[in-house]
Amino acid sequence: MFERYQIDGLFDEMFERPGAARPHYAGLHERIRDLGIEAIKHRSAMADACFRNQGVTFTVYKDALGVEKIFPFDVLPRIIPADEWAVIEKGLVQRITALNLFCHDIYHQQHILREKIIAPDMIYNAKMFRRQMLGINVPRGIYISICGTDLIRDQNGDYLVLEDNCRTPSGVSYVLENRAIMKRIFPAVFQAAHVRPIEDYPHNLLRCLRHLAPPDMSDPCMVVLTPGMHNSAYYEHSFLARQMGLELVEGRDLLVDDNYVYMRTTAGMRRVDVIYRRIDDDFIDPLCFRPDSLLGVAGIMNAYRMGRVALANAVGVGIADDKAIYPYVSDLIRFYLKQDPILKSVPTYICAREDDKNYVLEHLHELVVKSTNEAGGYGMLMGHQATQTEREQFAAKIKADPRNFIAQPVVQISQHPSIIGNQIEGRRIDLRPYILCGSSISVMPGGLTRVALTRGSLVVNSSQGGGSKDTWVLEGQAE
Amino acid sequence: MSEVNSNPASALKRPGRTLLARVADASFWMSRYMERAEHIARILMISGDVLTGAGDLDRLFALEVAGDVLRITQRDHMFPALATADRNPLEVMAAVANYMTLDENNPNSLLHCLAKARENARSIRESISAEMWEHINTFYWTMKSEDARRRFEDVPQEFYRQFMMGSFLFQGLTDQTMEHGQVWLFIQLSKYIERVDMTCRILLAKFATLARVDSSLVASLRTIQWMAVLRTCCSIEAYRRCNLGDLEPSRIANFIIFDPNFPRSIHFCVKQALASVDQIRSGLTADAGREAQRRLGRLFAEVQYSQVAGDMYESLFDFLGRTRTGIAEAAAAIQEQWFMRAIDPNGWRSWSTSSL
Repeated sequence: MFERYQIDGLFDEMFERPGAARPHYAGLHERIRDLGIEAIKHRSAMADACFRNQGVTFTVYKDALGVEKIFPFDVLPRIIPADEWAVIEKGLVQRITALNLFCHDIYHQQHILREKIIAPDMIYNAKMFRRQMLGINVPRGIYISICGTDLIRDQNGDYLVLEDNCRTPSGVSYVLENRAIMKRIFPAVFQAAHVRPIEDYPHNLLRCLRHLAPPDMSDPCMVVLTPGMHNSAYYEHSFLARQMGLELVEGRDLLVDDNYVYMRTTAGMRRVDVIYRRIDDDFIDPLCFRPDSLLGVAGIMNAYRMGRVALANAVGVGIADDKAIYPYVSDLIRFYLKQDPILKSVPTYICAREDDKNYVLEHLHELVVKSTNEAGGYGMLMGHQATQTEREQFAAKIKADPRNFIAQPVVQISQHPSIIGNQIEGRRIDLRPYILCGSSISVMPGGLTRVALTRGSLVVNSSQGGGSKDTWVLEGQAE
Repeated sequence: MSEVNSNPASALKRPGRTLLARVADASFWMSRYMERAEHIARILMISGDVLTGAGDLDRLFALEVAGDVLRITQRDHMFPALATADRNPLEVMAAVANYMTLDENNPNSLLHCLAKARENARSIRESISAEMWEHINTFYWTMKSEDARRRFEDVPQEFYRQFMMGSFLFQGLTDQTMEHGQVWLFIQLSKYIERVDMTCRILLAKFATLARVDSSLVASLRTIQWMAVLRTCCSIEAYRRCNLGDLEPSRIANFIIFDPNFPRSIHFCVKQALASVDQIRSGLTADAGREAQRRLGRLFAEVQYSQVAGDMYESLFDFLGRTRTGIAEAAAAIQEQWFMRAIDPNGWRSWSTSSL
């Protein structure tokens, strides 16, 4: 099965060198060979049928309504040993702590600007900076309750942060569904591996939301706010509402009266205290942001500003995952926490800086250029794979609006064995762990491992044809 | 807000989980479309069966049987296009069946009803059980799969049977896997409303067609035709257990309308719909739903104390017509008071202040 497996000079998660599995993969490697490709493919087909029947889907925007698709699932799990995970976990906790302090600072005293760590125009020109939030105190001072941070591994196997998703990170439902399926189709393999459980995530999320309600309220009404059925991540919204036992509401289910938020029920209006919103700032209040939005709730920002409803995540957190702020996060950690960053970042050129911009324009063919305000793999240029015309078009865009672009060298991210047709081949992967910030900070052991199913592709986004796999963080000695 | 609870058991239970108006609306339509699909599948199944098995029928009468399917589902404007002169009655029936089964542009086709049921279910999947959702989703994909048309054309009767079984399984799962709370009650309510409406339509169409030809049919055909009416209402076995001997139109009408214990009778369905409304209202502090309750209550009184007598056909058509109007008004009142009214931000203070 692995006879023709190629490592190609990359960092391979499973193999140290051809044929030699890393110690933490040894058990799995052996099991896969015992099972044989037919048995694995059979189980993989079972998993696909399960996903389809349960409607575990995401929507790809092709036409007005979009097409429901199954998130391709690769049954070979990714394994992370306990000691590696311990470092990642510490690094992520450090990062979300700094980012929360940063958000609070930006919308209050702005020490970071006064100390000239970041130039004011980087903040004030950011599309995700929300003037409306200046001087507003959010519940418990927590801006980012839920964060999904994308990690990659470079050719040396070092974990690097690729980006932080502080607004409405999605994918956690697939993590939980992938795990449920893996336990069903590979019970023996799973059991033998001693994997840390993740099933308490919805419970932790609920506690995290509860933390934002007024402390004296005995039974706060908490809801999940979705843009609706046609949203790409609708499945996840519904899944989380179900798992937490909360109502899933759409904008049209809510209204604001006298600066309180209510939901329309068959028994009349019921006050809502905490909203886990899966709608971007832009769409959440037509009176405050995009006036053409039908997804949000008119007047909710005033209720929010008056502290009568809590939103998770807070409005304005987009400033923290702006791709042009990303290169400063290490500085933020040093500034706010007086610590050295535990996780490394990818070297980044900020086109808003004249020198960087010139460098980027001259080296487009070896850089990945990203639009600072887009996600999901949209609006980016893979310089080394693009055509001359594409590069020229992108260069024009960069010159027109440099603040909107950053560039990074191409990182040859690590690969992992995947089932491809009748054999096993290496495919590039990344990792998105989920971090919850409530009365304490908890990191889900593992997270969403996304895999670029096209050979040689570095883009793992589901909207660009990526798949996912289960992520196993192994149990280790308690520290 | 509720007071601090000293009783640990009740502290665990959330006081009065409320139901979003949108969720109530979607559960209502999910159930209604599912019930509608079941009826349409049965109508197609029986009509096809009658025409296949009845030997050489008079062409006009045979076309009436095919046309009834469209009349019942209010698609009769399609009849001229489907019943072209070059088609024999069986071919016309096949064209009608095709139109009523897989045509996605037909708002009453089986596939369209199922797609609507699933769409509504998908929008409230956190409010129904996982089993219900998984069933309706799998059911949908099976009926929409690439080989669905081939399976339908191969053995249409089996295809209809799958639709009916799909609905039965949905009802069973609904009863056994979700709490019998408000969502469940709305599902029941709409199921019975749709069943009353469909049964009225079937009886109206079938009795009108058969009234015209009843005296001219030979005995065996006549029996088969009246049996078909009972079968279309899913009532033949129950009828036989209660009525020995010949199939009498008036006894058939009386059974399907007035039998108090048979879950397909109009009496039974109106009673259950009323009971659902009563229960929904008792769980709510607000005043909504009074109009729906009043209309269903009146309809139930009418069903309870009416009889089909005198000129059987005239009094039957009169009664069925009034029942259809009554049930439609009740449905409109439900829509208006529970689903729509809550959406009018100006109208809510007056009736819901008690719950604030």
